[in-house]
Amino acid sequence: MLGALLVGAPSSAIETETFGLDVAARTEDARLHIPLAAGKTTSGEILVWNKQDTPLRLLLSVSPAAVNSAGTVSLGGNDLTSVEWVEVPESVDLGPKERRTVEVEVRAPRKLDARVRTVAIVAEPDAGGAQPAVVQRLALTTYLEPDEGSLIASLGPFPWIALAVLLVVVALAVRAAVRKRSDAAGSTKE
Amino acid sequence: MRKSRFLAGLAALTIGAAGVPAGAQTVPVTLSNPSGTRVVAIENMTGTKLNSLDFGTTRELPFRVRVQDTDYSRSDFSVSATMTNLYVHDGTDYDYAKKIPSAQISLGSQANPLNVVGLSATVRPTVNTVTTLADGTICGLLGLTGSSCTLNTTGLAGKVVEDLTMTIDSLADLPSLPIVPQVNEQGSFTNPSYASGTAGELDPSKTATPATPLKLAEGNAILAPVLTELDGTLAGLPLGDVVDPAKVVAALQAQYPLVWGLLSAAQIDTILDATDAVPVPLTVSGVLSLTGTYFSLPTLNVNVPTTAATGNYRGTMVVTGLQ
Repeated sequence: MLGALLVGAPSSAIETETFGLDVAARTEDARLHIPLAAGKTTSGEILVWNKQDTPLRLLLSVSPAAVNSAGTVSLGGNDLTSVEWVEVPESVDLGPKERRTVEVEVRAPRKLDARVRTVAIVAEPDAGGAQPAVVQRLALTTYLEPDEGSLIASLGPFPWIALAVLLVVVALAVRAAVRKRSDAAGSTKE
Repeated sequence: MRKSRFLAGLAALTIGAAGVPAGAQTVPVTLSNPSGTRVVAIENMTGTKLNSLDFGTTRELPFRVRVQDTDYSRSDFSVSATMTNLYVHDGTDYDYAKKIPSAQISLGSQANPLNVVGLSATVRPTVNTVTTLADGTICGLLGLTGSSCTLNTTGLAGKVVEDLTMTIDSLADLPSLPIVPQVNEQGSFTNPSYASGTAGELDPSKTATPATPLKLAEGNAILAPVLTELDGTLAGLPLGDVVDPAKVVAALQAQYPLVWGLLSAAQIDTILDATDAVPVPLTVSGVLSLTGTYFSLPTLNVNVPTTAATGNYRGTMVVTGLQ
């Protein structure tokens, strides 16, 4: 028996007349998903491209984004903390018709809660000092998804080193106290 | 070297083939991977790129946002805008002391705020069939009594139907589209943008307060859509366009396994001729890709305070297409 399975992979490229932005590896919802692990750096990749026959410098930034109960994403919101975790290159230089993969790094704090954060990776052409009447940008919704198994970062050997130092200090203090007492006892005998 | 690699590959293939047990079923997997695009453009009403916000002596500037999908997946779109203050500009420099606050600039909608053109879809429907046979002989061979009979099949996997066009007669049709366009948000740009590359970048009185974003265009790919326009077009197609007739024959044969062999090829053709496809209402998973252009038609309005200094004002609208 023969069976045919057709799988529809979503296409997600969003473009202006001059450049485009997409996830580097296709995802089910056409948005970027980056796992979060407390105290660690994780990353994802986006794709940018130049549609023109002339070079193009794209400026990249990270912006807050909010998701409503229907799942619709909009730019804005006050979650600036998550924005600070995300790093992208300030700019990308693209040759004519060039496509380039860009790494998005996320440095999570040592302690996280399980909430999924949303930010947007924003790309816009560098106007080179000109201030056009209309600036057209593209933004890619990016989910920062904590791994529930790693919400608190390990402190590594630091606690053991601190404990060892503390024990040494206590031992030295005890030893000093004992010596002081025996010295005092000796001088009383004399 | 190349030959030895070829032989090694051939050996591997042979081993792989030998590893498949006799009688195993093979399932060919086809990957439909549309390489579509979504282009967002901000244009004046004649369709050229909006390069200036030239109100002239008017206080209302109509423009349009065009979102053009080509073989694109069914997904939301959202285009929002922020505004800087408008500053007096002498042709060279801004006078940041003389400004019209962004709160005096607002978005409105044109009389017809939406338009959708060139909509088509690639879909993979599930199909039921109904065969109404006015042939007592065939009915009899199938063990059915009477001079006419009805045969049904359900849940057949349909063909991939490309470029299925949808006709939009009025705004009332919009809610039954695979992506439901929304009228732009209306209101004023309460807090200005001071983003780099904009007219407000060097304003000495700029603050860290986030700029007020307003939606210029939005399309919602809702979770449980009513795809009436698409279903209607699909229902009008002949049987062979939506399902492989061999599947219909196989499904009927499975219902009448003992007597199907009594039918001649001509009689099977008669059955197929009398069969209509009844596509099951499409669900999200049945829509593989979409092509179409969605227009949002807002207006940019400015309220010039009586205290505003005379002169030519300039500002920047920052438009962001969000995926």
